[in-house]
Amino acid sequence: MTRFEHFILAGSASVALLLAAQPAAQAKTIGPTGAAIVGGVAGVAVGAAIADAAKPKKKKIVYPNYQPPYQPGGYNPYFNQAYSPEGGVVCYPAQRLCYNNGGAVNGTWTRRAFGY
Amino acid sequence: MTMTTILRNAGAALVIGLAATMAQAQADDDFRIDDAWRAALENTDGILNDKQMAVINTIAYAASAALLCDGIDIDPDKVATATTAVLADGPQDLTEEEQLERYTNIMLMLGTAKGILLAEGALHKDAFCASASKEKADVQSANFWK
Repeated sequence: MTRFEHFILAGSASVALLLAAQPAAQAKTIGPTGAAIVGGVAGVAVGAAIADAAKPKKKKIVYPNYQPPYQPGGYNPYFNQAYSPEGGVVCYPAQRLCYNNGGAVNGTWTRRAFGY
Repeated sequence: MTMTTILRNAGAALVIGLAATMAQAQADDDFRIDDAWRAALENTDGILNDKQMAVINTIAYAASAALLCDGIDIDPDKVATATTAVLADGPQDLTEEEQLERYTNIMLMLGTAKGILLAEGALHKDAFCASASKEKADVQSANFWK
């Protein structure tokens, strides 16, 4: 597959992940043989990815110029860092997500805080 | 006042104070399931940059709200566009195998975030759905709902 086909396939897969009604339509566009091949390749990748989660020393593909924002073994203090951009809202940089006090994600502040 | 009355009043005040403190603590809690997020994210830091990760988490949040809350539906076109942009904007010159590994990790991150957010939302559904509905009604707010 070309990279473009990968993008389309992966983008479609993400929607299928979110919408239970979508997988049948996606399978039709790929075709049964292609879907089986893609499924086999993806299955290997999923298995490896899940295994990697249990073996963090394996290679991880990171974005260009990534520098870990914490020292080795220092994830906990980093993970628990938080700040409040306004009353009742808490943002977690390690998670790139903001919450409202009282129990809900704050999408508006998540966008403002993390730049999209 | 008698000593008994004083003690009774002091006890009542203590209970009221304790209840108020507990209510304040409840209001101050964002109900994030910290340990689940820590376990999910520790080994994935760096796969996505800040913006990409916020997008993926917000898609996961939108999906969990759509599943839990009445009147909220995912917009598949918005999700596909945003996800494809995240997938396309990765390191250059990856092998096909590395490319697939990266995509797979991102999809797993999306699914994991969705699962944790579903749990958080389900535990405090009224607050979760009220907040999502308010956000959806805000015309200034960009989101992944129809």
